[in-house]
Amino acid sequence: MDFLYIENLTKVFGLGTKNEVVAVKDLTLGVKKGEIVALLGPSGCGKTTTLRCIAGLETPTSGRIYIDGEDVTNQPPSRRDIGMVFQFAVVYDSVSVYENIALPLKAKKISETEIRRKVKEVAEFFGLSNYLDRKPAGLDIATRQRIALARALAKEPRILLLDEPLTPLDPLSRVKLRVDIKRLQKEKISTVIYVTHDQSEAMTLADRVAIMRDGKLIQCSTPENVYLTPADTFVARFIGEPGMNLIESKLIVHQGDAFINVGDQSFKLCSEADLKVKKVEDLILGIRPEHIDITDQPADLQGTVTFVEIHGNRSLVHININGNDVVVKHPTVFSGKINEKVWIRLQRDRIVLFDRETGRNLELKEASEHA
Amino acid sequence: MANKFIKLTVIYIFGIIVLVWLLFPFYWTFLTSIKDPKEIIRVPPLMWVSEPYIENYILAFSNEEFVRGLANTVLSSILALLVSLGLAIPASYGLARAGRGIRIRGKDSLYFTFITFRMLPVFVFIIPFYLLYRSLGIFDTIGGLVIAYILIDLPLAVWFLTGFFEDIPWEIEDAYVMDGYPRTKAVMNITLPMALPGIVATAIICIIFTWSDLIFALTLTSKFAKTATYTLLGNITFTQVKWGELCAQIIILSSPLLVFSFYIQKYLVRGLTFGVVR
Repeated sequence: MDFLYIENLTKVFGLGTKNEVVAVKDLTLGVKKGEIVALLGPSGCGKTTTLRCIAGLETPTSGRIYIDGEDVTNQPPSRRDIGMVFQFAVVYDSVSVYENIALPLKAKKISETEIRRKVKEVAEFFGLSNYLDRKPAGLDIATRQRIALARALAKEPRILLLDEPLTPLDPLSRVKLRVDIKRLQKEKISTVIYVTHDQSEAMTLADRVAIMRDGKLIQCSTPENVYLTPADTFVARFIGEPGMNLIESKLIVHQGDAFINVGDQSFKLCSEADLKVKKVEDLILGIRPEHIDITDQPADLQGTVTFVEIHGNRSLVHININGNDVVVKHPTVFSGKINEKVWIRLQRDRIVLFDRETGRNLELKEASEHA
Repeated sequence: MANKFIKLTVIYIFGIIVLVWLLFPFYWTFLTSIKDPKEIIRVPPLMWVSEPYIENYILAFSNEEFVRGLANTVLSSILALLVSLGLAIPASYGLARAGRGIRIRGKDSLYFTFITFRMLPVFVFIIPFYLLYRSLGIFDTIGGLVIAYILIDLPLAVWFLTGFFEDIPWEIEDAYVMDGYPRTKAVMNITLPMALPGIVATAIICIIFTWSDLIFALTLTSKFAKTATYTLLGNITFTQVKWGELCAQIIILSSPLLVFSFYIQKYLVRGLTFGVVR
């Protein structure tokens, strides 16, 4: 069993009333020791509720939570040995920064010298050594959040839970603190669950990204896997900036070859023998904007340029292909004109096929593979 | 610039009118209390006194009935307040926290029920209360009065305190729990100290209501448990109205509240606006 194992977790608020809300639905997730897992999803998808259940601040409606093989589902937070940092930087203004960080250690009833040593160590890690004797009132939000992080970490918790800790910060200190969190996990080897709605945070920090939607876990895999082989069209569109292109198309097999039809256009995908999916006529073809090449030679599909965004020396080119808006990340400044007809070539090994009805990735067998 | 000047002038004039309108009766009461009997009935009346006449205050404090009334007012108000706060603090905490960690079935209806007690005019209660108190044998007792005053205090306290508790970021309490302390300690060490301004403001408002109550005292007491507001009426007899003594007693009765309210003004303003805005 994994270090942290969440088994069929369901959390319903207002059970049996007309305001019943299912926040988390049948979620199963395993986290290994020393791993950072990011819970990613739009607001209201149940990621914070999941975190609060792990913390013990909420009682699951059903399902169990195990830490290090021990069932902690009904244990109070104080006995779970978990550290938590909230979006709202919680700092006790009435006592010094030192006292703030020492607070959880005092609850553990360890010796004064030991507390002093641990506080010093963790304060140094977060660059707070100069602040220890002063009171936190008047410190900026980034520093306050560092104090909160230091406090959560000082007691060397089994698991560190971070609930969008960087959201209230300005972009610059956000990047700085992000580096600190990554460094922390490397040096202190603590297991971290990180809730965020910011995909770049999740993709850069996490060993694995768990994407949630409407209380359900859609996919949990490495950032690379999530990016390249999304479990469904939701993940495909949610991850990436801009998200994956989704083109309504048809898969046709003809004389030993597999073809993709988009409207009245058609191109050869691969030979029938190489086809990895079972034959589904109606599907959605997914491809990332950087896996499409624009060419003036006849290629896979032809379309009209509708809009060009220049980003420094790169450009995002919007091309209308039989009514589908396809975005292409062009590596240089795009020289073509609006309304110009262009050809595009899709990198074959980057094409992902989704079922048009369910939106599921046709090549992935299981939705939440634990790879 | 000129515009701003006119605006400020209008605000000040209006403010002064309101202040005079509010404070003049109080000033007149105070003035009457330090006038000697001849000056009180003098026509036209004087707007000030050259030499304060303190005999009225000496009389008031030697008036056994008034002193006992005062003691009853203090005792019943404070007892009712303590019981009400003791019930309202956990109730409001629960109502504010419902849906976040704890579940309360029918939370909104419960809250509304509390408020409804405040909406009903006191006169709805007094006749049934009179009959009930008679048959229960708690008529004219401090205990009986305290029960009636809880009816005034409790809804008010729940209404105000729920607003206050809702305004405290729960993360602070949750963080304390995550730091390894039990929830009860988090409430005692974190949430309650943060709610203290609200609790103080609520207490003052409750005290003001019960302190100045006349209806319940008049209906539910007759001799032993009479409050100060009731005994004031003793100054109005068939043959005369003892204006000097009456006014001195009014000043004595209201001054503790005045001093109190003055010291906690900032809490009071916050407390009052809380309830209204929500």
